[in-house]
Amino acid sequence: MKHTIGAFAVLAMVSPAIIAAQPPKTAGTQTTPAQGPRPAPASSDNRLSMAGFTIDYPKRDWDLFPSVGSSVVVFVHRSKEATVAIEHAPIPIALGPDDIIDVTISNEVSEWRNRRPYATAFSPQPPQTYAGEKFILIDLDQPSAQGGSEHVRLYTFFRGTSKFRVICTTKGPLFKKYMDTLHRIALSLYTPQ
Amino acid sequence: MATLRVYRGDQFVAPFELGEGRTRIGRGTENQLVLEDKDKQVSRSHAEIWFERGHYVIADLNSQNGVWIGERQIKTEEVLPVNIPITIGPYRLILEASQPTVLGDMVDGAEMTRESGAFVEPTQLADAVPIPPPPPAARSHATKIPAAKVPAAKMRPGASGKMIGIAALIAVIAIGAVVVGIIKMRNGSTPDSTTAEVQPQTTITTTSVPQAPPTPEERFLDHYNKAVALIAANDKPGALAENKEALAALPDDPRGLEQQKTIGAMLEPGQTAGPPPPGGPLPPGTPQKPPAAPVPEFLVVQARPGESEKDRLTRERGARSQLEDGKKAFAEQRWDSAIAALVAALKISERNDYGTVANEANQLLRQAQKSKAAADATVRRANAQRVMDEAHTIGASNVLLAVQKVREAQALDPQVDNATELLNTLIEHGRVQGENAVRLGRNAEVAGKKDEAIRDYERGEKLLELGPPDNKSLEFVRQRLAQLKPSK
Repeated sequence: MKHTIGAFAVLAMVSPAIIAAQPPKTAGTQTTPAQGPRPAPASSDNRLSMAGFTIDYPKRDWDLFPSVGSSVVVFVHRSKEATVAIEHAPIPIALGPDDIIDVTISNEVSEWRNRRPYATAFSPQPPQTYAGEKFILIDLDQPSAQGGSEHVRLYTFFRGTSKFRVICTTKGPLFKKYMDTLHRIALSLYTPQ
Repeated sequence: MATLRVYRGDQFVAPFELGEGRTRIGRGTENQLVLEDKDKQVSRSHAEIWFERGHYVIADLNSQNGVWIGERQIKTEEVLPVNIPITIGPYRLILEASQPTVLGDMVDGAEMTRESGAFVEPTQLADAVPIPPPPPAARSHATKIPAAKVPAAKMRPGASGKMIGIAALIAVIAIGAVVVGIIKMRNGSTPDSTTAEVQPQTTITTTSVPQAPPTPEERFLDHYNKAVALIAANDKPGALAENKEALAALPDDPRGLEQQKTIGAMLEPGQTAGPPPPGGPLPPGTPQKPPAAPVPEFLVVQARPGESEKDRLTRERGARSQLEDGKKAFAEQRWDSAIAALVAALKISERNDYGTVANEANQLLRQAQKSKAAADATVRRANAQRVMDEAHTIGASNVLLAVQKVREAQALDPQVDNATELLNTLIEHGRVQGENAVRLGRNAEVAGKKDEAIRDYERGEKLLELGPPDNKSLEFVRQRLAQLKPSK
């Protein structure tokens, strides 16, 4: 009996983390592949075209702020509960799908640790694949400037000699609420050939 | 009693009669048999010979260069074999099968007869052997014979006729007189005219022995052994003539008939010499005289223009010594030594056909070189296999080193087992590992870790270089290294 109670207790503690760490199910999302013909955005979305890429975001409740800090553009939910920041950096060489390996992920984690020294609970996922493209997905928690903690889901895409990061941040407990929307925005990132 | 025939090189020098006492041999003048030797290859006290239980025994007196029976050095003492050359420095001593000596046989016979209780007739003594004048050494040994033994035979004439008894008495008295004369001489008495030259020892340079007329057996052996030497020198006509002379002495002797066949099988002059003739000296125990032939034809070293005979002889001896060393080394399969000695023999002799038989040195040299090559190949094969085993062992962990090992093994032995298969496997491993290294290099470069990228690229390049040169990753990595290295 004691064993059963103990097992439930452990499950209760671990399950939120497991849920948080689960990669989003891409099958049901209305996103577009990164490469190939670019279909029109969903009727509920706006499309932002910037130098080198386009990205779709919901028409309702999301505001757009260009060039904030190191980001090219930031989308902020009007409730201030969620943000999506896009970063773009040139890289010396292109990485192909076969080049996205464990080392690529650990390099990304390591860079992010340097940038966010107070971040905790780094949870890198194995290389993700969407529409034939491999990308990196890392979850982490960080202290919020307003107090409390934030959950961050970091998407890293290697497109030619560019590296794009889509940094999705929510107030800690609200991540599940925005998870699908954030995922749809991230995967709509498109870079023309 | 027996005779020791003393040779210096191939030159007969003197005989030496062995007694029953001890005969010391050496360079020192205190020895019974003095072997003069300016080069001091003969020790001052070199060896000793004595008679024991029906045999002569020779002992090495801890000499510098040892005592050799045939090709073998004796350790301490050994029975002195009959007709086998004993080498002491430059000398060869050959114990001949015993020739009956008057005094010894007479005394022994008398003693035996006395013990058996029978009488020896004076006529028997007188008729036993014609009495030659005893050689100096024999006379020297004779002094050791107890004088009482001689009268023992003399004073028991038996019942034969008076005249016969007187004749025997005269003969014994004559022998007794000789014995007494020798005893006197050894005791320092003034020698009479007949014994004035007698020395208590034999020095090979001064001794000479009167010879009895040769028996048919002796004539046979003389010619037979000359024929043996001529066979060794590949002189077919000479050997044929000598063997014919031998057969003239003993027409039906099987040794001579057998040797005639051997000579018949020899190559004619001018033909390429084959292996050494099958015939040879008689087997040990067969009575024979040593070959007294001059230096065989193909061992002769020709004088250079203006060269002294002494220098020519030195070269001749040097060449021969090298040839013997080469043959010994060849027999012991020490190929390097054999080759060196045979090359030296050919060089010193300055003749291509040098050898006991024509071309012997050259043929041995070629065989030694071939054998050395075969032996070296065996060693190389074994080494190659060992290196291959190492390559197998390290293959998984260090492809580059393993490939290096396989190539090393192939260089040692191009036919080494499974080299190609292992090499192909390793090259494929190298390709996979090389691609991984390049991938790591790319990631390091993207992450801004330039040094790490260069390291990975370099490793990738080495691994990919194992395979075909038209590899895209190899091209890429070289391009990246060219870009990164100068700016490093």
